[in-house]
Amino acid sequence: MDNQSGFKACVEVSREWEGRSVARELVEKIKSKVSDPKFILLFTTIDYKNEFDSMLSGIKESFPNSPLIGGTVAGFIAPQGCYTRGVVALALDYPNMDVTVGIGHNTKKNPKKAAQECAKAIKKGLKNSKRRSKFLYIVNSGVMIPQFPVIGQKSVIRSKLAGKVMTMFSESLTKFQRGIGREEELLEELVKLLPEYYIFGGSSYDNNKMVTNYQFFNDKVFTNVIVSIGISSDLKVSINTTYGLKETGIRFKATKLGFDGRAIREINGKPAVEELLRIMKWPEEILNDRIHRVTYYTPIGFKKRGVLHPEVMGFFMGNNIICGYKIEDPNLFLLSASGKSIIDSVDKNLKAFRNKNNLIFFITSCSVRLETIGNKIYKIHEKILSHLKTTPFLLLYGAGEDVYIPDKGIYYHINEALNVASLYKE
Amino acid sequence: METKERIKKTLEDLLKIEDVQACFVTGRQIGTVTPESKAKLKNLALWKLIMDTTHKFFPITEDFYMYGLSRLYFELKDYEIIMTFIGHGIALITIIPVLANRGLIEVEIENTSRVIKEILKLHK
Repeated sequence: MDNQSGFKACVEVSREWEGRSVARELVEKIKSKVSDPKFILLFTTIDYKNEFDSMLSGIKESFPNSPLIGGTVAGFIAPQGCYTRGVVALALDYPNMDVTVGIGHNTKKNPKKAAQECAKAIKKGLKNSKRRSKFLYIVNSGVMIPQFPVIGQKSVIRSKLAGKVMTMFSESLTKFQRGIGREEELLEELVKLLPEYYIFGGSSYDNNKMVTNYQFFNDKVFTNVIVSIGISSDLKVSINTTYGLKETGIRFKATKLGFDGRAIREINGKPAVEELLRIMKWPEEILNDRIHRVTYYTPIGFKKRGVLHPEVMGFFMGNNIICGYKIEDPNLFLLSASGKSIIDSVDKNLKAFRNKNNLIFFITSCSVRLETIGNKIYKIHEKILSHLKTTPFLLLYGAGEDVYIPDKGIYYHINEALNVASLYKE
Repeated sequence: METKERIKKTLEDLLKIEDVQACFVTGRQIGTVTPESKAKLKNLALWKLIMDTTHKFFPITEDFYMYGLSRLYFELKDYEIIMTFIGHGIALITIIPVLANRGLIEVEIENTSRVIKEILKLHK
Protein backbone atom coordinates (compact mmCIF):
# COMPACT_ATOMS: atom_id res chain seq x y z
CA MET A 1 0.00 0.00 0.00
CA ASP A 2 1.36 3.40 -0.97
CA ASN A 3 -0.57 6.59 -0.52
CA GLN A 4 -0.03 10.34 -0.97
CA SER A 5 1.21 10.88 2.58
CA GLY A 6 4.19 8.64 1.87
CA PHE A 7 2.83 5.79 3.97
CA LYS A 8 3.97 2.45 2.58
CA ALA A 9 3.34 -0.95 4.08
CA CYS A 10 3.26 -4.55 2.98
CA VAL A 11 2.64 -7.97 4.48
CA GLU A 12 4.55 -10.77 2.78
CA VAL A 13 4.48 -14.55 3.27
CA SER A 14 7.05 -17.24 2.57
CA ARG A 15 6.37 -20.97 2.52
CA GLU A 16 9.94 -21.96 1.75
CA TRP A 17 11.52 -24.27 4.34
CA GLU A 18 15.13 -23.14 4.50
CA GLY A 19 15.97 -19.96 6.39
CA ARG A 20 18.10 -18.47 3.61
CA SER A 21 15.40 -19.15 1.01
CA VAL A 22 12.75 -17.62 3.27
CA ALA A 23 14.90 -14.52 3.75
CA ARG A 24 15.60 -14.22 0.04
CA GLU A 25 11.92 -14.47 -0.88
CA LEU A 26 10.76 -12.03 1.78
CA VAL A 27 13.49 -9.49 1.03
CA GLU A 28 12.64 -9.53 -2.66
CA LYS A 29 8.93 -9.09 -2.00
CA ILE A 30 9.41 -6.35 0.60
CA LYS A 31 11.93 -4.40 -1.51
CA SER A 32 9.51 -4.23 -4.41
CA LYS A 33 6.98 -2.42 -2.20
CA VAL A 34 8.81 -0.81 0.74
CA SER A 35 12.43 -0.16 -0.20
CA ASP A 36 13.60 1.20 3.14
CA PRO A 37 11.26 0.10 5.97
CA LYS A 38 11.09 2.05 9.23
CA PHE A 39 10.64 -1.34 10.89
CA ILE A 40 9.92 -4.98 10.16
CA LEU A 41 7.78 -7.43 12.13
CA LEU A 42 8.65 -11.06 11.50
CA PHE A 43 6.68 -14.05 12.72
CA THR A 44 7.11 -17.74 12.04
CA THR A 45 5.51 -20.97 13.08
CA ILE A 46 7.59 -23.29 15.28
CA ASP A 47 8.41 -25.49 12.26
CA TYR A 48 11.27 -23.07 11.50
CA LYS A 49 13.05 -23.30 14.85
CA ASN A 50 16.26 -24.58 13.24
CA GLU A 51 16.21 -21.87 10.59
CA PHE A 52 15.91 -18.70 12.68
CA ASP A 53 19.56 -17.64 12.53
CA SER A 54 19.91 -17.86 8.77
CA MET A 55 16.48 -16.33 8.26
CA LEU A 56 17.13 -13.33 10.50
CA SER A 57 20.67 -12.69 9.29
CA GLY A 58 19.47 -12.93 5.68
CA ILE A 59 16.81 -10.29 6.26
CA LYS A 60 19.01 -8.00 8.35
CA GLU A 61 21.80 -8.11 5.75
CA SER A 62 19.38 -6.60 3.26
CA PHE A 63 17.73 -4.18 5.70
CA PRO A 64 20.53 -3.21 8.13
CA ASN A 65 18.82 0.05 9.13
CA SER A 66 15.36 -1.39 9.72
CA PRO A 67 14.77 -2.54 13.32
CA LEU A 68 13.15 -5.96 13.44
CA ILE A 69 11.15 -7.70 16.16
CA GLY A 70 8.92 -10.76 16.16
CA GLY A 71 8.63 -14.30 17.35
CA THR A 72 6.90 -17.62 16.96
CA VAL A 73 3.13 -17.98 16.67
CA ALA A 74 0.65 -20.83 16.27
CA GLY A 75 -0.57 -19.41 12.99
CA PHE A 76 -1.43 -16.25 11.11
CA ILE A 77 -3.74 -14.71 8.57
CA ALA A 78 -2.32 -12.37 5.96
CA PRO A 79 -3.99 -10.95 2.84
CA GLN A 80 -2.56 -13.97 0.94
CA GLY A 81 -4.27 -16.62 3.10
CA CYS A 82 -4.28 -18.53 6.40
CA TYR A 83 -1.30 -20.50 7.64
CA THR A 84 -0.21 -22.70 10.51
CA ARG A 85 3.11 -23.31 8.77
CA GLY A 86 5.05 -20.45 7.29
CA VAL A 87 6.77 -17.12 7.80
CA VAL A 88 5.22 -13.66 7.57
CA ALA A 89 6.80 -10.22 7.51
CA LEU A 90 5.20 -6.82 7.87
CA ALA A 91 7.27 -3.88 6.65
CA LEU A 92 6.29 -0.25 7.03
CA ASP A 93 7.65 3.11 6.01
CA TYR A 94 6.26 6.54 6.77
CA PRO A 95 8.12 9.86 6.80
CA ASN A 96 6.35 11.33 9.84
CA MET A 97 7.36 8.52 12.15
CA ASP A 98 10.18 7.89 14.64
CA VAL A 99 10.85 4.33 15.66
CA THR A 100 12.89 2.56 18.28
CA VAL A 101 13.11 -0.94 19.71
CA GLY A 102 13.29 -2.27 23.26
CA ILE A 103 13.97 -5.60 24.90
CA GLY A 104 13.51 -6.87 28.46
CA HIS A 105 14.99 -10.15 29.66
CA ASN A 106 13.85 -12.91 32.05
CA THR A 107 10.13 -12.22 31.74
CA LYS A 108 9.05 -15.35 33.59
CA LYS A 109 11.46 -14.92 36.45
CA ASN A 110 11.00 -11.18 36.94
CA PRO A 111 8.40 -9.60 34.62
CA LYS A 112 8.49 -6.25 36.41
CA LYS A 113 12.22 -5.85 35.83
CA ALA A 114 11.87 -7.00 32.21
CA ALA A 115 9.18 -4.36 31.62
CA GLN A 116 11.40 -1.70 33.19
CA GLU A 117 14.34 -2.66 30.96
CA CYS A 118 12.11 -2.59 27.89
CA ALA A 119 10.40 0.72 28.77
CA LYS A 120 13.74 2.38 29.50
CA ALA A 121 15.00 1.53 26.00
CA ILE A 122 11.82 2.86 24.40
CA LYS A 123 11.90 6.11 26.36
CA LYS A 124 15.56 6.63 25.55
CA GLY A 125 15.11 5.81 21.86
CA LEU A 126 12.23 8.24 21.41
CA LYS A 127 13.24 10.99 23.82
CA ASN A 128 13.95 13.47 21.02
CA SER A 129 10.83 12.69 19.02
CA LYS A 130 8.46 15.64 18.79
CA ARG A 131 5.59 13.60 17.38
CA ARG A 132 2.73 13.21 19.79
CA SER A 133 0.98 9.97 18.98
CA LYS A 134 2.64 7.00 20.72
CA PHE A 135 2.20 3.33 19.93
CA LEU A 136 4.02 0.35 21.38
CA TYR A 137 3.85 -3.05 19.68
CA ILE A 138 4.95 -5.82 22.02
CA VAL A 139 5.79 -9.50 21.71
CA ASN A 140 6.03 -11.50 24.94
CA SER A 141 7.07 -15.03 25.72
CA GLY A 142 4.00 -17.21 26.31
CA VAL A 143 3.48 -20.26 28.46
CA MET A 144 6.07 -23.08 28.34
CA ILE A 145 5.28 -26.34 30.10
CA PRO A 146 8.10 -28.88 30.30
CA GLN A 147 7.69 -32.54 29.49
CA PHE A 148 7.72 -34.20 32.91
CA PRO A 149 9.76 -37.36 33.44
CA VAL A 150 7.71 -40.56 32.97
CA ILE A 151 4.32 -38.84 32.57
CA GLY A 152 5.25 -36.45 29.74
CA GLN A 153 3.05 -33.37 29.37
CA LYS A 154 -0.41 -33.90 30.83
CA SER A 155 -3.52 -31.73 30.74
CA VAL A 156 -5.25 -33.82 33.36
CA ILE A 157 -3.87 -35.50 36.47
CA ARG A 158 -6.69 -37.15 38.36
CA SER A 159 -4.76 -38.22 41.45
CA LYS A 160 -5.28 -35.56 44.11
CA LEU A 161 -1.83 -36.05 45.59
CA ALA A 162 -0.02 -36.05 42.23
CA GLY A 163 -2.13 -33.06 41.17
CA LYS A 164 -1.12 -31.14 44.29
CA VAL A 165 2.55 -31.94 43.72
CA MET A 166 2.34 -30.95 40.05
CA THR A 167 0.61 -27.65 40.91
CA MET A 168 3.38 -26.84 43.38
CA PHE A 169 5.95 -27.82 40.79
CA SER A 170 4.25 -25.60 38.18
CA GLU A 171 4.37 -22.66 40.60
CA SER A 172 8.12 -23.01 40.99
CA LEU A 173 8.78 -23.28 37.24
CA THR A 174 9.03 -19.52 36.64
CA LYS A 175 12.22 -19.45 38.71
CA PHE A 176 13.67 -21.63 35.97
CA GLN A 177 12.19 -19.52 33.15
CA ARG A 178 9.47 -22.05 32.38
CA GLY A 179 5.75 -22.19 33.08
CA ILE A 180 3.24 -19.36 32.79
CA GLY A 181 4.06 -16.20 30.84
CA ARG A 182 3.19 -13.64 33.59
CA GLU A 183 2.22 -11.26 30.78
CA GLU A 184 -0.38 -9.44 32.91
CA GLU A 185 2.38 -8.42 35.32
CA LEU A 186 4.54 -7.22 32.45
CA LEU A 187 1.71 -5.19 30.98
CA GLU A 188 0.81 -3.58 34.29
CA GLU A 189 4.38 -2.34 34.70
CA LEU A 190 4.62 -1.15 31.10
CA VAL A 191 1.42 0.86 31.54
CA LYS A 192 2.88 2.52 34.63
CA LEU A 193 6.10 3.41 32.84
CA LEU A 194 4.69 4.33 29.44
CA PRO A 195 1.26 5.76 30.26
CA GLU A 196 0.98 7.83 27.07
CA TYR A 197 1.52 4.85 24.74
CA TYR A 198 -1.21 2.76 23.19
CA ILE A 199 0.07 -0.75 23.83
CA PHE A 200 -0.82 -3.67 21.61
CA GLY A 201 0.57 -7.15 21.08
CA GLY A 202 0.58 -10.68 22.34
CA SER A 203 2.49 -13.71 23.45
CA SER A 204 4.63 -15.87 21.24
CA TYR A 205 3.80 -19.53 21.18
CA ASP A 206 4.41 -22.85 19.43
CA ASN A 207 1.96 -25.23 17.74
CA ASN A 208 -0.32 -25.26 20.80
CA LYS A 209 1.91 -27.77 22.57
CA MET A 210 3.22 -25.18 25.01
CA VAL A 211 6.72 -26.65 24.93
CA THR A 212 8.69 -23.63 23.72
CA ASN A 213 8.52 -20.25 22.03
CA TYR A 214 10.99 -17.71 20.69
CA GLN A 215 11.30 -13.97 20.26
CA PHE A 216 13.32 -12.10 17.63
CA PHE A 217 15.22 -8.87 18.17
CA ASN A 218 17.03 -7.70 15.04
CA ASP A 219 19.16 -10.70 14.04
CA LYS A 220 19.13 -12.35 17.48
CA VAL A 221 16.87 -15.12 18.80
CA PHE A 222 15.73 -15.19 22.43
CA THR A 223 13.41 -17.01 24.79
CA ASN A 224 11.76 -15.43 27.83
CA VAL A 225 12.08 -11.84 26.68
CA ILE A 226 9.71 -9.06 25.77
CA VAL A 227 10.57 -7.31 22.51
CA SER A 228 8.87 -4.14 21.38
CA ILE A 229 8.75 -1.44 18.74
CA GLY A 230 7.99 2.05 19.97
CA ILE A 231 6.41 4.34 17.39
CA SER A 232 6.05 8.08 17.65
CA SER A 233 4.14 9.60 14.73
CA ASP A 234 1.31 11.84 13.59
CA LEU A 235 -0.92 8.80 13.03
CA LYS A 236 -3.83 8.16 15.35
CA VAL A 237 -4.39 4.80 16.99
CA SER A 238 -7.68 3.02 17.46
CA ILE A 239 -8.08 -0.33 19.25
CA ASN A 240 -11.11 -2.56 19.52
CA THR A 241 -11.67 -5.97 21.15
CA THR A 242 -14.51 -8.41 20.51
CA TYR A 243 -15.01 -11.96 21.69
CA GLY A 244 -17.83 -13.93 20.13
CA LEU A 245 -18.43 -15.50 23.54
CA LYS A 246 -21.83 -15.84 25.12
CA GLU A 247 -22.66 -15.85 28.81
CA THR A 248 -24.34 -19.14 29.66
CA GLY A 249 -25.95 -17.83 32.85
CA ILE A 250 -23.92 -20.30 34.91
CA ARG A 251 -22.10 -18.42 37.64
CA PHE A 252 -19.92 -19.60 40.49
CA LYS A 253 -17.48 -18.25 43.01
CA ALA A 254 -13.81 -19.19 43.24
CA THR A 255 -13.67 -19.32 47.03
CA LYS A 256 -10.05 -20.36 47.21
CA LEU A 257 -7.37 -19.39 44.73
CA GLY A 258 -3.71 -20.35 44.64
CA PHE A 259 -0.69 -20.00 42.39
CA ASP A 260 -0.95 -16.22 42.69
CA GLY A 261 -4.54 -16.27 41.42
CA ARG A 262 -3.93 -18.70 38.57
CA ALA A 263 -5.19 -21.90 40.22
CA ILE A 264 -8.77 -22.38 41.33
CA ARG A 265 -8.58 -24.59 44.40
CA GLU A 266 -12.19 -24.31 45.58
CA ILE A 267 -15.46 -23.37 43.92
CA ASN A 268 -18.41 -22.46 46.16
CA GLY A 269 -16.42 -23.73 49.16
CA LYS A 270 -15.92 -27.19 47.62
CA PRO A 271 -12.95 -28.81 45.83
CA ALA A 272 -12.78 -27.01 42.49
CA VAL A 273 -12.76 -29.88 39.98
CA GLU A 274 -15.52 -31.85 41.73
CA GLU A 275 -17.71 -28.78 41.97
CA LEU A 276 -17.09 -27.80 38.35
CA LEU A 277 -18.13 -31.28 37.20
CA ARG A 278 -21.30 -31.00 39.30
CA ILE A 279 -22.17 -27.52 38.01
CA MET A 280 -21.54 -28.50 34.41
CA LYS A 281 -23.20 -31.90 34.77
CA TRP A 282 -20.06 -33.35 33.19
CA PRO A 283 -19.20 -37.01 33.83
CA GLU A 284 -15.87 -37.66 35.49
CA GLU A 285 -14.72 -39.49 32.35
CA ILE A 286 -14.49 -36.12 30.61
CA LEU A 287 -11.28 -35.55 32.53
CA ASN A 288 -8.86 -36.99 29.99
CA ASP A 289 -6.20 -35.58 27.69
CA ARG A 290 -8.85 -34.49 25.22
CA ILE A 291 -10.50 -32.18 27.74
CA HIS A 292 -9.43 -29.18 25.65
CA ARG A 293 -11.88 -30.18 22.94
CA VAL A 294 -14.51 -29.25 25.52
CA THR A 295 -12.91 -26.46 27.53
CA TYR A 296 -11.86 -24.44 24.47
CA TYR A 297 -15.58 -23.95 23.82
CA THR A 298 -16.37 -23.23 27.46
CA PRO A 299 -13.98 -20.64 28.85
CA ILE A 300 -14.61 -19.06 32.22
CA GLY A 301 -14.65 -15.31 32.62
CA PHE A 302 -14.56 -12.43 35.05
CA LYS A 303 -14.82 -8.70 34.64
CA LYS A 304 -12.16 -6.18 35.58
CA ARG A 305 -12.79 -2.45 35.09
CA GLY A 306 -15.79 -3.47 32.98
CA VAL A 307 -13.67 -5.52 30.57
CA LEU A 308 -14.45 -9.19 30.03
CA HIS A 309 -11.44 -11.40 30.83
CA PRO A 310 -11.98 -14.88 29.33
CA GLU A 311 -9.74 -17.63 30.72
CA VAL A 312 -9.04 -21.05 29.28
CA MET A 313 -9.22 -23.80 31.87
CA GLY A 314 -5.83 -25.16 30.85
CA PHE A 315 -4.95 -27.94 33.26
CA PHE A 316 -6.82 -30.10 35.74
CA MET A 317 -4.38 -31.19 38.41
CA GLY A 318 -5.98 -33.18 41.20
CA ASN A 319 -8.56 -30.75 42.47
CA ASN A 320 -6.90 -27.64 41.03
CA ILE A 321 -7.96 -25.95 37.81
CA ILE A 322 -4.99 -24.07 36.38
CA CYS A 323 -5.68 -21.00 34.24
CA GLY A 324 -3.45 -18.92 32.00
CA TYR A 325 -3.40 -15.69 33.95
CA LYS A 326 -4.48 -14.21 37.29
CA ILE A 327 -8.13 -14.38 38.25
CA GLU A 328 -8.75 -10.92 39.72
CA ASP A 329 -12.41 -11.29 40.61
CA PRO A 330 -13.63 -14.51 42.26
CA ASN A 331 -17.11 -14.09 40.77
CA LEU A 332 -16.74 -16.23 37.69
CA PHE A 333 -19.14 -17.04 34.93
CA LEU A 334 -19.13 -19.68 32.31
CA LEU A 335 -18.95 -18.59 28.68
CA SER A 336 -19.62 -20.52 25.52
CA ALA A 337 -18.05 -20.23 22.10
CA SER A 338 -19.06 -21.67 18.77
CA GLY A 339 -17.39 -21.58 15.39
CA LYS A 340 -20.13 -19.24 14.19
CA SER A 341 -19.84 -16.83 17.11
CA ILE A 342 -16.05 -16.67 16.68
CA ILE A 343 -16.40 -15.93 12.98
CA ASP A 344 -19.18 -13.38 13.55
CA SER A 345 -17.03 -11.47 16.05
CA VAL A 346 -14.92 -10.30 13.09
CA ASP A 347 -17.80 -8.26 11.61
CA LYS A 348 -18.64 -6.79 14.99
CA ASN A 349 -15.05 -5.75 15.54
CA LEU A 350 -14.18 -4.32 12.15
CA LYS A 351 -17.37 -2.27 11.82
CA ALA A 352 -15.85 0.07 14.42
CA PHE A 353 -13.16 1.12 11.92
CA ARG A 354 -15.48 1.87 9.01
CA ASN A 355 -15.31 5.66 8.95
CA LYS A 356 -11.58 6.04 9.47
CA ASN A 357 -8.77 6.54 7.02
CA ASN A 358 -7.08 3.32 8.13
CA LEU A 359 -3.56 2.76 6.87
CA ILE A 360 -2.69 -0.53 8.49
CA PHE A 361 -4.22 -3.09 10.86
CA PHE A 362 -2.41 -5.10 13.52
CA ILE A 363 -4.60 -7.93 14.77
CA THR A 364 -4.02 -10.45 17.56
CA SER A 365 -6.05 -13.42 18.62
CA CYS A 366 -5.80 -16.55 20.69
CA SER A 367 -4.52 -19.84 19.28
CA VAL A 368 -7.44 -21.52 21.04
CA ARG A 369 -9.77 -19.83 18.56
CA LEU A 370 -7.66 -21.10 15.68
CA GLU A 371 -7.65 -24.63 17.09
CA THR A 372 -11.41 -24.40 17.62
CA ILE A 373 -12.37 -23.44 14.09
CA GLY A 374 -9.62 -25.20 12.12
CA ASN A 375 -9.96 -24.90 8.35
CA LYS A 376 -13.02 -22.64 8.77
CA ILE A 377 -10.43 -19.96 9.45
CA TYR A 378 -10.81 -19.11 5.77
CA LYS A 379 -14.24 -17.67 6.62
CA ILE A 380 -12.46 -15.19 8.89
CA HIS A 381 -10.04 -14.41 6.08
CA GLU A 382 -12.97 -13.69 3.72
CA LYS A 383 -14.60 -11.42 6.26
CA ILE A 384 -11.41 -9.48 6.92
CA LEU A 385 -10.82 -8.96 3.21
CA SER A 386 -14.40 -7.80 2.69
CA HIS A 387 -14.01 -5.19 5.45
CA LEU A 388 -10.43 -4.05 4.93
CA LYS A 389 -10.27 -4.35 1.14
CA THR A 390 -6.68 -3.47 0.18
CA THR A 391 -5.53 -2.10 3.55
CA PRO A 392 -2.62 -4.26 4.75
CA PHE A 393 -3.21 -6.35 7.86
CA LEU A 394 -1.60 -9.11 9.86
CA LEU A 395 -3.55 -11.34 12.24
CA LEU A 396 -1.41 -13.40 14.61
CA TYR A 397 -2.59 -16.33 16.72
CA GLY A 398 -0.57 -16.58 19.92
CA ALA A 399 -0.78 -17.50 23.58
CA GLY A 400 -2.57 -14.37 24.79
CA GLU A 401 -3.25 -10.79 23.86
CA ASP A 402 -2.29 -7.45 25.40
CA VAL A 403 -4.04 -4.12 25.05
CA TYR A 404 -3.72 -0.72 26.70
CA ILE A 405 -5.90 2.20 25.62
CA PRO A 406 -4.63 5.33 27.39
CA ASP A 407 -7.58 7.62 26.65
CA LYS A 408 -9.94 5.06 28.19
CA GLY A 409 -7.54 4.15 30.99
CA ILE A 410 -8.02 0.43 30.46
CA TYR A 411 -5.51 -2.33 29.93
CA TYR A 412 -5.88 -6.07 29.75
CA HIS A 413 -4.03 -9.29 29.08
CA ILE A 414 -6.65 -11.83 27.96
CA ASN A 415 -7.30 -15.04 26.04
CA GLU A 416 -9.93 -16.02 23.48
CA ALA A 417 -10.46 -12.55 22.03
CA LEU A 418 -10.05 -10.76 18.73
CA ASN A 419 -8.08 -7.52 19.12
CA VAL A 420 -7.64 -5.02 16.32
CA ALA A 421 -5.40 -1.95 16.25
CA SER A 422 -5.49 0.51 13.40
CA LEU A 423 -3.05 3.29 12.59
CA TYR A 424 -5.04 5.94 10.80
CA LYS A 425 -4.73 9.44 9.46
CA GLU A 426 -7.23 12.03 10.60
CA MET B 1 6.58 -30.18 -13.79
CA GLU B 2 4.23 -33.09 -14.32
CA THR B 3 0.94 -33.01 -12.38
CA LYS B 4 1.83 -35.98 -10.17
CA GLU B 5 5.25 -34.54 -9.36
CA ARG B 6 3.67 -31.25 -8.31
CA ILE B 7 1.18 -33.07 -6.11
CA LYS B 8 4.02 -35.11 -4.58
CA LYS B 9 5.89 -31.91 -3.69
CA THR B 10 2.76 -30.45 -2.04
CA LEU B 11 2.24 -33.65 -0.05
CA GLU B 12 5.89 -33.56 0.99
CA ASP B 13 5.28 -30.13 2.55
CA LEU B 14 2.27 -31.47 4.45
CA LEU B 15 4.18 -34.52 5.69
CA LYS B 16 6.91 -32.29 7.12
CA ILE B 17 4.45 -30.95 9.72
CA GLU B 18 5.29 -32.53 13.05
CA ASP B 19 2.05 -34.37 13.74
CA VAL B 20 1.23 -35.44 10.20
CA GLN B 21 2.00 -39.17 10.25
CA ALA B 22 1.14 -39.92 6.64
CA CYS B 23 -0.70 -38.41 3.71
CA PHE B 24 -1.60 -39.28 0.16
CA VAL B 25 -4.00 -38.38 -2.61
CA THR B 26 -6.21 -40.98 -4.16
CA GLY B 27 -8.59 -40.68 -7.06
CA ARG B 28 -10.05 -42.62 -9.92
CA GLN B 29 -8.21 -40.70 -12.60
CA ILE B 30 -4.84 -40.19 -10.96
CA GLY B 31 -4.58 -43.35 -8.84
CA THR B 32 -2.62 -42.97 -5.61
CA VAL B 33 0.01 -40.27 -5.17
CA THR B 34 2.26 -40.35 -2.10
CA PRO B 35 5.02 -37.98 -1.00
CA GLU B 36 8.61 -38.88 -1.80
CA SER B 37 9.50 -39.35 1.88
CA LYS B 38 8.35 -42.37 3.84
CA ALA B 39 5.28 -42.07 6.05
CA LYS B 40 6.05 -41.56 9.75
CA LEU B 41 3.30 -43.97 10.73
CA LYS B 42 4.93 -46.90 12.53
CA ASN B 43 2.02 -49.30 12.14
CA LEU B 44 2.73 -50.50 8.61
CA ALA B 45 -0.20 -52.92 8.54
CA LEU B 46 -2.56 -50.06 9.27
CA TRP B 47 -0.88 -47.88 6.66
CA LYS B 48 -1.29 -50.63 4.05
CA LEU B 49 -4.91 -51.16 5.02
CA ILE B 50 -5.68 -47.45 4.64
CA MET B 51 -3.89 -47.25 1.29
CA ASP B 52 -5.65 -50.35 -0.03
CA THR B 53 -9.17 -49.54 1.08
CA THR B 54 -9.71 -45.79 0.92
CA HIS B 55 -10.80 -45.79 -2.72
CA LYS B 56 -13.61 -48.17 -1.75
CA PHE B 57 -15.33 -45.29 0.01
CA PHE B 58 -15.88 -43.43 -3.24
CA PRO B 59 -19.02 -45.26 -4.45
CA ILE B 60 -20.71 -44.18 -1.22
CA THR B 61 -19.17 -40.74 -0.80
CA GLU B 62 -19.94 -39.70 -4.36
CA ASP B 63 -23.64 -39.57 -3.52
CA PHE B 64 -22.91 -37.29 -0.59
CA TYR B 65 -20.48 -35.19 -2.60
CA MET B 66 -23.46 -33.81 -4.51
CA TYR B 67 -24.69 -32.47 -1.17
CA GLY B 68 -21.43 -30.74 -0.36
CA LEU B 69 -19.50 -33.50 1.44
CA SER B 70 -16.12 -32.00 2.18
CA ARG B 71 -14.56 -34.10 4.94
CA LEU B 72 -14.81 -37.43 6.70
CA TYR B 73 -13.13 -38.20 10.00
CA PHE B 74 -12.34 -41.70 11.24
CA GLU B 75 -11.02 -42.27 14.68
CA LEU B 76 -8.99 -45.39 15.32
CA LYS B 77 -7.37 -46.13 18.66
CA ASP B 78 -4.34 -43.87 18.43
CA TYR B 79 -4.91 -42.17 15.10
CA GLU B 80 -7.36 -40.01 13.32
CA ILE B 81 -7.82 -40.25 9.56
CA ILE B 82 -9.03 -37.14 7.80
CA MET B 83 -10.42 -37.62 4.31
CA THR B 84 -10.66 -34.29 2.50
CA PHE B 85 -12.57 -34.29 -0.77
CA ILE B 86 -10.75 -32.26 -3.38
CA GLY B 87 -13.10 -32.96 -6.22
CA HIS B 88 -15.43 -35.57 -7.58
CA GLY B 89 -13.83 -38.95 -6.82
CA ILE B 90 -10.57 -37.56 -5.50
CA ALA B 91 -9.51 -37.14 -1.87
CA LEU B 92 -6.57 -36.14 0.26
CA ILE B 93 -6.01 -38.56 3.13
CA THR B 94 -4.13 -37.35 6.21
CA ILE B 95 -3.32 -39.40 9.29
CA ILE B 96 -2.60 -37.66 12.59
CA PRO B 97 -2.32 -38.80 16.22
CA VAL B 98 -5.66 -38.76 17.99
CA LEU B 99 -4.37 -36.23 20.53
CA ALA B 100 -2.84 -33.85 17.96
CA ASN B 101 -4.00 -30.25 17.72
CA ARG B 102 -6.28 -31.04 14.83
CA GLY B 103 -7.52 -27.52 14.24
CA LEU B 104 -4.06 -26.21 13.45
CA ILE B 105 -3.24 -29.12 11.16
CA GLU B 106 -6.55 -28.71 9.36
CA VAL B 107 -5.49 -25.25 8.19
CA GLU B 108 -2.55 -26.78 6.36
CA ILE B 109 -4.67 -29.67 5.07
CA GLU B 110 -6.95 -27.00 3.61
CA ASN B 111 -3.97 -25.20 2.05
CA THR B 112 -2.70 -28.48 0.60
CA SER B 113 -6.07 -29.34 -0.88
CA ARG B 114 -6.35 -25.85 -2.39
CA VAL B 115 -2.94 -26.24 -4.05
CA ILE B 116 -3.86 -29.68 -5.38
CA LYS B 117 -7.17 -28.33 -6.68
CA GLU B 118 -5.22 -25.65 -8.49
CA ILE B 119 -2.81 -28.25 -9.91
CA LEU B 120 -5.71 -30.37 -11.10
CA LYS B 121 -7.59 -27.26 -12.17
CA LEU B 122 -10.63 -28.44 -10.31
CA HIS B 123 -11.45 -24.94 -9.11
CA LYS B 124 -14.93 -23.99 -10.10
